[in-house]
Formats: sequence, structure tokens, C-alpha cells
Amino acid sequence: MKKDRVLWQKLVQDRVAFAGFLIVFIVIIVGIFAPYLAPYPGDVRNIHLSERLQRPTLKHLLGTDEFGRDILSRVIFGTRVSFTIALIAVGACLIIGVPIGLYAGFYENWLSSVFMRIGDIFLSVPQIVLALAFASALGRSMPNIILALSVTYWPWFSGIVFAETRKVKKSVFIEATLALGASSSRTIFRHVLPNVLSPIIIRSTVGMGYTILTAAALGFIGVGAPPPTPEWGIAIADARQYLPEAWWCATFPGLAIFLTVMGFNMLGDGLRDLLDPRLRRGGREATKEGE
Amino acid sequence: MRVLSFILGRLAVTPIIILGLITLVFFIVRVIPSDPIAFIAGERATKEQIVELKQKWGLDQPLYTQYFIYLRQLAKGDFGTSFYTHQPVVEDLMRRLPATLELTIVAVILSVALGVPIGIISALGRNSWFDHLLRVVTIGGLSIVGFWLGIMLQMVIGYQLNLLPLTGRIDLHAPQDITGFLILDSILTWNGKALLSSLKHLILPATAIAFASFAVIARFTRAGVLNVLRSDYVLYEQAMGLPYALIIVKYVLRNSITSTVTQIGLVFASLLGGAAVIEMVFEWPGLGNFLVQSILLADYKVILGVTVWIGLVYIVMNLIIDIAQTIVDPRRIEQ
Amino acid sequence: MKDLVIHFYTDYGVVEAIDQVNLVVNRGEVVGLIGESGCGKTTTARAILGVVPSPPGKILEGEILFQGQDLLRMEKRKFNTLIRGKAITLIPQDPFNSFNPLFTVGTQIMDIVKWKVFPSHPDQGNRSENRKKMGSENVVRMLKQMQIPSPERQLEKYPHEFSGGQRQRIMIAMALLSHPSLIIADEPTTALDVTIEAQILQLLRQLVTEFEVSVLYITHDLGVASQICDRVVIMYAGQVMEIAPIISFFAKPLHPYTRKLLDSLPNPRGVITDIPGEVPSLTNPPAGCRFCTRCEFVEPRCWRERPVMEEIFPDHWVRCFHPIIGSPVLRAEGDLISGRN
Repeated sequence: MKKDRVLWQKLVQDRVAFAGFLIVFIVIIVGIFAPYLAPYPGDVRNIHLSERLQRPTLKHLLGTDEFGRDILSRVIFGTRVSFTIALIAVGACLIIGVPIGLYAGFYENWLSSVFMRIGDIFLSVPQIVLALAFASALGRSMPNIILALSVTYWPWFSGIVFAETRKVKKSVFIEATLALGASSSRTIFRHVLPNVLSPIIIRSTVGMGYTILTAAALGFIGVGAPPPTPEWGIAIADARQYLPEAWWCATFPGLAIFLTVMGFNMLGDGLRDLLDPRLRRGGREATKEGE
Repeated sequence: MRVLSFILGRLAVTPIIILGLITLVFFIVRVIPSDPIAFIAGERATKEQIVELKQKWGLDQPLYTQYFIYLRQLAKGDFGTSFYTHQPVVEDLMRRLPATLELTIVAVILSVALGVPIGIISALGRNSWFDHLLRVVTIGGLSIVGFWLGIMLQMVIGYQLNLLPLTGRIDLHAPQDITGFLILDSILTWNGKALLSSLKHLILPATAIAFASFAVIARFTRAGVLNVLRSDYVLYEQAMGLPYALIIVKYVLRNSITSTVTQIGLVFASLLGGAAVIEMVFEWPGLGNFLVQSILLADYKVILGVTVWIGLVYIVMNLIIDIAQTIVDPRRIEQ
Repeated sequence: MKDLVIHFYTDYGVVEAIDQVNLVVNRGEVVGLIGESGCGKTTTARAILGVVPSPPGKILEGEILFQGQDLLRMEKRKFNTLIRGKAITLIPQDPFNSFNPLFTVGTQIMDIVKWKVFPSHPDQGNRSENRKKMGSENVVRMLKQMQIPSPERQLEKYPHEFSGGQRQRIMIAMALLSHPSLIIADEPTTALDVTIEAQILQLLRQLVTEFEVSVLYITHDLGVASQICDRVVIMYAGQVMEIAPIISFFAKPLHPYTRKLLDSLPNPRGVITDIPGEVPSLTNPPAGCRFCTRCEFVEPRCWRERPVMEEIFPDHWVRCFHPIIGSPVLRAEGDLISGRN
């Protein structure tokens, strides 16, 4: 469709968005091919105490940590961990949040209020606080951290979907569709959802980055996945005691988090520029007017 | 009238949400996990000792009884007692609150001082190279890992360059404790050394926090200003030849302020709990740090107390902001 | 305005919005710029004041001569100080949104006065108190003329506290304060009720004679045009199709499009005619006359060649290969023509 091609062209033109797209793409590739890309894939588990805390050299490009493990390899594998956590968590949020938002926004009955109030409860404290409480209550494991993140993040999605659905519902063409006799569920899926899609996409992209950050924070605190998971947050926490001499242990995992999250944010920002003005203002002023 | 009914509506819902929050946290902290007694008693506690401790702390009662007892106490303003400090939670809370507040306020001031001008300049120079540069910078700010930045700052500025202290709020020159706000107390007691010391200790953690929030404020300011720039009245003012500087400084800024102020309020509220990890990194004796430690120790009265308290502040803050917005712009009620 | 060409560069292509538009406004006359929505009349007017949104719009060719000087090539600062809001002013379409909602009406009017009417007065030598006093006296007087009761008090109010008609009166006052040579009125009555519209039109008629000001009156409503315009310029899809004095226009409409426009007006006989077809896409417009896609008299020539403006009757010009001359215009009683002439 010409419209899709125009969208793609615009994405490429927007250098920041395209850079974000590339970064995310690279992250995914690195995650998938981690065992082949990491110079010492075994270091996810293996310990080589004789080589502990070595500075970055040709042999270990990013140095080694306190157990002698190659940091580059662990960072590469960390990509898998973080991305998996974020993907599943955001996915769960979508599965829970989008239908709730659609229902609440469309029907606006007492049940909707209940859903939205429940969401408000979760939103009444900064996400990290709740996630922290959940994660520590549940215990240290990957599934638990994903659960904690999903349970505390879904209200953001349902909130956005709710607001957008309400807006779309008020538009005349929905009234017309319903007046013509289309059933509610059909209307929701075929007409409301496509129009609500772009904020969802943007939020999901940004949400991936945000989840990775939160997961790292939880790992840093010590309630995340258990060692020896090569999670970036844990790596930074472990590295703290060897600072400032062994600076490489903490610097590189943090850098990895930063770059990855930045990639998602750049992509999300570009998507926002792309998708929003198109829908809101019909394209006439669409040449890079920003938000 | 509509404004009033809106406000009343929100006020009515608020207690329900607070109750919901309490229930939720109670559920998380008591129903799911670990037994604080195991921590307190230690590994070699005998069965009798455990039973005794349980009775002492009221943990032998069925869960819903504990819930209602807690609610009743809460209504009287009693947040319970911490397992570890053996102090009333309220006292522990109040003792640590000024530290977090001071840090948060300074961080917000920094973010606003940096973020608002950047947002405005970005919007005015829309699509210039500067705007694009700032776009990348703000996205970077959003992506920054607060605690990692804190660690890096500690390392480079604190250690390598030895410019600023690494942890804590103040060193030996602590001033007399009047308000709990070190800056204020230093000024009130005319203690220059204390003032200097507390400021030095504040800079690094505040910067680590401010990096992320300045980006949010910059972006919202930019969006707000852009929105105003596109309005009909700005078009009219331009068409009628009013000086550009006048239009921007007098009219555009004034109209853009509301969204920025809202954002600042929200940022402030979310930092109260959100700065917890950075407080950890800098060993800042604040609320967030306290919360994290209590969570790790399963000190549930504290967890409940602090979380509920943060929640309360956040909810109230949001309520105030929403009410203020509807007064300023009644169209908001639709949204 | 000579041979003005404006294109808009959008994601979906280049919109050739204004295609070699020529028009003239003489001293003291009210020229109506008439056309359907999207025909380019607002863009044309905006071009005069230099507020065509500049990405995506771009003025490619043409001149806009005002009292001898080309506005498009005038130095920016001079243009902003001397022309905008002073020699040429604007009455916008939507008086509600054209006021800043957060400032009182008085503040906004006084800014115009301070910066456009009395920026520096030689007699008073920059004494700002005197200027302010003179300024507010002027404003009060002007508002009284606009038939706004107790103007002193009204200045303290906010825009949303006024009715639509009152807001537009204030806008008109603001447009007249600097005694401009030209006022661009962008559909000033479109947002108002019909009864209010009648009042405003009457007011405008009076003011035009009294202040001896020229007006470029933009509208899509032929009825309104008939009440206030001396001459009309008909635009369609970015091209000027016909220019005529008002009586000649209604008595002898030449262009097929104009004919259709007049025919499609409601009339006492109750017959409704419309124009079949659609406005052509301006990203890929026909090379010739842009009405060719819907014209009932279209010839192959119309698609390829652009007709030139020809003077058929005195001062009555049309751009068409086959203007409709000679067939009488059937008008029943009680039809449009009323007002000034």
C-alpha cells in the first residue's frame, strides 16, 4: 500500500528513528545469536578465578569480572535476559491491558469504573516501588520478575487504551457504524481497534525500554533473577565493591542498558512523530513538525 | 458547577483508591511470602521462640483479622512498629522524610532550570539542527540508568577527581536539627561549613536523578510551546505585526506554562518513591532507601506504612493537579 | 497581486494550491474574494500578510505590490512594523480562537495600540503615560463606534465572556485602530448566526465609507458578497475564474462555474441544482482550466490549454474559452441583489 511505503520512507528519513530501529534490530540479533557472537559463551556459568578482574585487553575486550568471567560475553548474553523479560512483560501487559481498556472505554459502565479504579490503585505508587515489593515477595527468579513487572505495568496500557477508545467512540463514524446495526464487538475490533493501534504501538516500544530499565533496577537491588544470570543490573551491583579500580565491571553493563533503552526510545519517538500527526492532522502539516 | 461536581467525584473516589492500595500492599506483603519472623528469630530459633515472637507481633492471628486490626490502627494514625528498629513506623518515616524531600526538591529545581529553557528553545527553533540535537539529548536523558549514572559520577567525580563526597548527606559539620532540612538548618544556624557540606553532598545524587526528569520536562515544555505556536491567536498576533519577541515572551510562554507546571508536579510526586535506588547508591538516609531495606528484610509494617504514605502523597498530588487543571481549563473535564 | 504561485510540499505530493493568481484592489473599494472551501482564497489572503505556513508552503513566483512596493521582497523588519497590523490589518475568521484566552481583551487591544498605533508619537516624545492615555481614549471611542456598550468595563473582561458578535466587533475595532489602507477580512461572519451576521455587515458597510479603507473580503457566501462588495473575484481550485463589478456579475455571469454557483443558490422557485463531479486533486491538476473536469461546455482544448483572462464587458473579465454571453439570467422577484448598490 502506498501509505505504508510512505510511512517506511519517513521512518528512514528520520535519522534518529532509523538509528533507534537499527539499534533495536542489532539488539535482537545479538540476543538471538548470543552463543555464536560471544567469545566465551561458557562464561555464563564458568568461573576462572585465576583471571579475575583483568583490565580490557585483546583477549577480553571488556575485561573480566570478579569471577574471571569475560564481561563482553556476559553482556551479550545479558541482552537475551533483558530482552526476554521486557518482551514477555510488555506482551502480558498488552494482553491484559488492551482488552480492559477497550472494554472500559467503549462501554463506560460500572464495570469500566471498577477496572479503571483498580488500575488507579496500581498507578498510585511509582511502579518501581510496587514491583520491588512484588518481586521480593515472590522470590528471586526470572518468571517472578516478569510477573512483578507485568502486574505493575499493565495499568499504563489500559489507561491509554481507555482514553483513546473513548475519544474514538465519540467520533461520528462509530456512531454511524453502530446505527447501521453492527454489533458492539464487531465495531470494537474492526473499527475502534485500528484507530487505537498507534498509541499502543508507541507505548509498547517505549515500554520495552522502560521495562528493561526497571528490571535492571530490580536486579541491582537484588530482587531480580538469581545469580549467575548475566543480567545487567546484577552485574552492576556485583561490580560495586570492586570500584573504582576495576571500573570496567560496572561501566559496560550500564552502557549496554543505556544503549538498548535509548534505541527503544529513539524508535518510539520516531514512531510517535510518524503515526500521530498522520492520524491527528491528516498529513498536511506532517513534514517533521514534531510532537 | 461542573467543576465542583468533578472535584466532588474525585474526592469521593480517593478513599476507595487508598483503601485499595492498602489492601494490595497488604496482600503482597503478607499473603505471598516469607515470614518476617524467620528473619528476626534467626536460623537457630527454637519452635517455642518462634511461637512467642509470633504472638508478640500479632502474627498468629488469621490473616483477615490482622488486616482489619491494621486498618483500625491506621485510622487512628498508628502505622505500627518496625520489627527492626523497634520504633513506631511513623517516627522512622518522619525522621527520614526530610532527607528525601530535600534531595527531590533540589533534583526538581535542577530539572526545571535545565529542562524548561531547553524545551522552549527547542520549540522556537523547531527543526533546526539545535532542535534535533536536543531531541537526541532528551531521549538520552530518558534512557539514562539513574543508579548507574550515580555510580559513574561517584567514580569519576567523587573518586578520581576527588571533587565531591561519595555518600551520605553531610560529614562532620552537621548543623543543629531544627527542620531536618540540612540546607535550611544550616542557614538558620548561620553555619557556613554545614551549608557547604550539605550542598556538596547533594549535587551528585540530585544530578543523577535530574538527568531523567529534565528530559521529561524538556519534552513536555517543547510540546506545550509548539501547541501554542500553532494556535489561531498566535497566527493573528503575527499577522497583525506584533513584535516577535513580544509574542513569545508575553503570550506564548504564558499559555505554555500550565502543561509544564503540571508535569513538574507529576515528576516531583513520582520521584518520592522513584529515587529509591539512587538513595541506595549514595547511602542517602531517605525514605526510598529505608523502603528498599525494609522490603529486603520483610519488615512488613514499614513496607506498608511507607508505601501507603508515598501512595497518599502521589494521589493527593494528582488530585490537586487535576483540580487545578479543570479550574484553569474547564474543557479538561471531557478528557 | 501578480501571477502568484504557491505550492505546498506535503508527504502525499506537491499541492499546487495557488496557480498564477492576479487581482487588484483599488483605494476605497471592497473586493470580494469568493470561492468554495479549499479553493485557495484563505491562502491568497495569508500570502499578503506573510503568514502562509512555510514549511510546507512555498511562494514560488509572483509579486504583491502594495502602494508601489513588493511585499514579498520587502525587508522583514520593515514589513512587520509598517505593513502588518498597520497599513494592512486582519479580521480573522474565528474571533473566539483568535483571542488569547488567558489575557483580558483590554491587554490585547492595548498591545496593538502600543506597538502598532502609537509606537512613538513625535508630539508626546515617547512619554508612555500620555501614549497610554491617548491610546485608551482611542480604543474606547472606537469600541463605542462598534456599538459596544460601556467599553471601559468591557476591556477588563476575558474573551470567553463575550458573545460571538461582540468579539467580532472588537476584532473589527482592532483592525481599524491604526487607520489601515487595506483590511483583509477572512470570512468574518462565517462563525456567526445569521442575525448577528446582518448587523456586522451593516456595521462594516458604514465603517468602510467612514474610514475610506479598502477591503479584501473573503467569503464563500454570494449573498453576503452581494451586500458588501463593489467587485468580486471568483476563485476555483487555486485559479481566478472571473472578476467583475458586483452588478455586472449578478446580471451577466460569464464563467460556467459562476453560472452554476448562482444556479445552486436557493431560490423562491424551490429548484435545487448542484454541480456534478468533484474538485480536481491539486497534487495532479489538469494543465489547462481546472474546471474542465466538471464543466458542461468542456472542449478538448480546455484540458490542455490555460485560457487567458479576457475583458468581455467593461471591467468584467473571465478566464474561459467559452464564456456564457448573451443568454439572459432568469431571476425571479425577491432574489439576491440588495444592499449597497
